[in-house]
This record gives sequence, structure tokens and C-alpha cells, in this order.
Amino acid sequence: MVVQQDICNGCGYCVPACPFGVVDVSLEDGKAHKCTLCYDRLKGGLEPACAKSCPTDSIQFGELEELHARAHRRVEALHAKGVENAYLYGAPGAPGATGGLQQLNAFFLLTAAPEIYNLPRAPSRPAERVGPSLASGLATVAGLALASLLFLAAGRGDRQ
Amino acid sequence: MNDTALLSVPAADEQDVTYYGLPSVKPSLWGGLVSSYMFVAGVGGSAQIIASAADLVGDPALAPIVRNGRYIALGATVLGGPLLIIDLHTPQRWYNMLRIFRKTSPMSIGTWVLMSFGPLSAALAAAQFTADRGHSPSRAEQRAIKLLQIPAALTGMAMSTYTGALLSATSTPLWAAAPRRITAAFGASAMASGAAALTIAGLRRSASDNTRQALDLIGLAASTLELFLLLSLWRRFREQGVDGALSESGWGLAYDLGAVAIGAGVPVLHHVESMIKPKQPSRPALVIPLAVLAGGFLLRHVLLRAGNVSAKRPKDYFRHRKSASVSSDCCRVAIAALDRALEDRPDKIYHDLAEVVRCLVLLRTELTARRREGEAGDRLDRCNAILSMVIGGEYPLAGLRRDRLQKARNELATLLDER
Repeated sequence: MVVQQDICNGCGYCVPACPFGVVDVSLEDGKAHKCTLCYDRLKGGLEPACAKSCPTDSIQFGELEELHARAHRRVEALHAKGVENAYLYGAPGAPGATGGLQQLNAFFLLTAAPEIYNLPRAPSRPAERVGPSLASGLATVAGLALASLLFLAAGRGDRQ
Repeated sequence: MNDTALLSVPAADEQDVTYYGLPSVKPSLWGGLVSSYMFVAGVGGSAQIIASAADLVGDPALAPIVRNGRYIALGATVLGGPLLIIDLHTPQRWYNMLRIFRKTSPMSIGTWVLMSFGPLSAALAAAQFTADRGHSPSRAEQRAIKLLQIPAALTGMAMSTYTGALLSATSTPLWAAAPRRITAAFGASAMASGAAALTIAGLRRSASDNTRQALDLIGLAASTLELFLLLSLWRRFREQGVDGALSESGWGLAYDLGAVAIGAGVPVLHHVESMIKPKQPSRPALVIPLAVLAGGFLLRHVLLRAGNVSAKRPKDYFRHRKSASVSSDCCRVAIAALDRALEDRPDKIYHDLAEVVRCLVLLRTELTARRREGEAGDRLDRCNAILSMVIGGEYPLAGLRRDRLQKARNELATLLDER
């Protein structure tokens, strides 16, 4: 995800929407911002600066499918070494990829409860709630509108 | 491979583990401007709905309701649009909202609802204005106005409720915990507020008693429903463990006193009293409709501000995002797999059923944990029964019983619906 800086009008809806608390609006320039994965470096064929500079190669950058395969191999290797609580967060089918989020484009290999890392156990895609929410509201108002029609029509005879 | 990862997620050892108490999500930047807009949108939208109903009945005695409703709706648009634009952090780019329509974003849905409701209300108010000035519309014009009133009412319904979806389609625990009830409460409160605004507007032009009575009945129905929904919303917040943002801050008191008691309780009592003891027609008290309007604003303002508080409470977020469990997501996958298995040849279904079993084991683990925490009910037993049926299908020693698989599928769907 990239915020288009020339389009963003700073409505700020992305801020409470993000299930991981990533995006924020700058009060300096009135636009939303998040990590761009070093967009400028990517265009020049380089990997993001964080991945490049990480001294232990803990941050890796690449095609997601390739990274998933590498991460699963790493989890298996850790399990074989006795680190049984190693698991992936945000890979397809794993915790973090719940509630309509099929996968996270940044995913993690963790060894403790997700909450310890400030990550929700089962995040959800906010858009999942749009349909049920609108439907229940519209049904309520439609019901009351119908009742209004009846009340207004009921007095008709008296008035004539 | 993925499912084993699901199974091996370590549980948080202590209750309510957080990352040094730091928030996990960010609060919205919204405040009074947005809650004022949500209130104004509700009043305008619902006044237009009631005006449309009155227009549809077609009784000349109801003409004041139609007239006032159209003007109130226009007023709400004229006031609401600027409120939204001022709230943007780069207001000069407001028109970028019109670049796209995105059905996954209530912000975008609302933009287009307002962009439809506004012009419709303006057209109807203009027609009303020319009629008020003594210009009598031709028959074709009359028909066009009657026709316009229908989309105006439909977009009015959206205006009255979409602001609830705007709150719920976020990750703010308080708002995300009750997506259905928040919009329903907003809708009922908007209809009560619309009727209240029309009652106040009718005072000036001395509306007939029958008109006033009809508005009173609409107000009574809406306020009664609102009262019920507001109490049910509180219960939902408690069930989801997100009520702290209200009860541990001053906003809980504002909700109880402002939104529930003044906004809905007092009006219901008043309406009931005046129905039991019908007084001689006198000027209705201005204080009741004003209480409804004040309560309608407070409901939105309190929920908005308390939501901002709740986003800064990581325990609330984690508790809320735990109850919507990994296993229930997995079990939706399981239902799909069962559906596939029911379609397939017996020798082909092993892999699908194996997946179902893995998901059910995950669900059983979670239900067992809940039973240990003291949860009552028979959900664990039913989960075990479903598991037995599916395992019977996975290893069909005595032939495959499709009816059992079908039963397992239906039972699982019922179990998930109860969550």
C-alpha cells in the first residue's frame, strides 16, 4: 500500500482503519503517511534501506511467495532444533491473516504470543463490517419510515 | 503446513498481555466537527424521509410537514458539507473525494450519498420555495416533484445511518465491536431527531393537532426503539470487553445521562404520559423535542470521543480481536471444504475432510479453553459431536454416510452463527 501524496486530502479515515496502527496523518503537511518501502530506491533497483542495512538479515525483502517458502523452511528448521513455539504471523492461513485479510504483505516469524509484539491475535479487515453495519441501519430506518407512513395515513380520516 | 502454524500459536500466559502498555492502533483525528456532521446528517436525512412519507399520503393537512422537511433537509446539506470539508487536513483538495467510488469505504459511500442527497434536497426545497411564493406548479412539474421525493427519501435513509458504518468499519475497538447495533441506534436516533426538528418547525406555523399527533407517534416509535438499542449497545460493549473506554472515563456518564436518559428515556415517558392523559390541545412543550435533539448529538459525540479513548487502550483491542477467533475463520474454510466434499466422489474427499478435521480441532482447543475459563453452554459438546461425524467420513469403515456429512456441515454453520 502506498499513499498517493499528490491526491491525499487528509480525511484521516485510514488512521483508525488500520488494524496495526501504521498510518498517521502529519499535522505539518496535512497528508497521510506510511512506510513507502523506499519507493525511490525500489525504482532504482535497490531493496529498501531497512532490509539492506539490517546486520542480522532479520528484515528480508522480495517476492512474497518466495519469502513465504523461505519462512516456512525457517519455521521447520527451528522446530527441528527444539524451538517449538516458532510460528508465522501474517502468512496465508496463519494468525494475522484473519477476518478477511488473506495475507499481510509484511509478515513475521514470532516465538511468543502476538500481543507481546503489539500485534492483535486475530485482526480483521475493517471493510468486512461495512455490509452488516449498513444493512442493519437501513433496515431499522426503513422500518421506522414504514411506521411513519402508517401514522401519517392514520390521521387522514380525522382531518378530512 | 499453515494449519500447524495456526495450532502452535502460543497463548498469552497472563491475561491482558500488551507491549509495554503502548497502543496497538491509532485513534481517529476526529472531534466535534465530525460528530456535528453525523448529527446534522441524521436530522436532515430523517426529516426528508418523514416529508416523503407525508407527501406520499397526500393529505393537504400534512403539507407543513412536507414543506418543513424539505427545508430542514436542505439546511442539513448546506451545513453538513462545509463541516466535512473543514475537517479535512488538506481542505483545498476536498474534490479528490469525487475521483472514485469505493464500496469498501463508508467515507467514499458517504461522499456519494451526500452528493446525491444534497442536490435532490436542493431541488425539492427550490420547488417548495417557488410553490410557497404562490407559483402553482404545472401537472408535469407536480409529478416530477413527487417522483424526486422517492430517491430523496432513499438517500435520506443512507444519510441517517451510514455514519454508523463509518465508525464501525475501522479498527477502533469500541466502534468495531458493535457494527450492527451502532448503525441501528444511529438510525432510530436520526428518525427521533427528524421528528423532533419537524415538531419544532411546526410550532411557528401552528400546525394542526393531528399533524402534531402523527409526529408525536413517529417520535414515540423511534425513541422507544432507540432506548432499547442504546441499552443493547451497552450490553454488547460489555460482552466484547470494550466498555472500559466509556465506564472508566466521563463519557459513560454522558452516554447514560445524555443519550439514554435525556435523549430517549424522557421523551418516551413524556409521549406515553400524554397518551394516557390526553391534555386539551395546547402548545406542545418545546423542551421534549429539544431533549431529543440534544440526546441525538450527544450519542454521536460521546461514541466518537469514547472511541478515540478506546483506541489508546491496547488491552481492549487485543481482547476484542481475540474473541473474533482464528478458529472461527478457519471453520468458515472448513464449511467450504465440507461443501466441496459433499459434491465429490468418496475416494476424492479425503484431503478436504482432513482440512475440516484440523479446523475443528482448532475450534475444540479454543472452546476447551473457554470452558476452563468458566463459559457455560453446550458448544464444546456439539463441536465434539461434529468432529466425530467428520472423522467417520474421513475414514469410512462402513461406507460413506453423506447425510452425516451434511448434518455435520449444518451443525457447524449453526455453531459459528452463535459466536
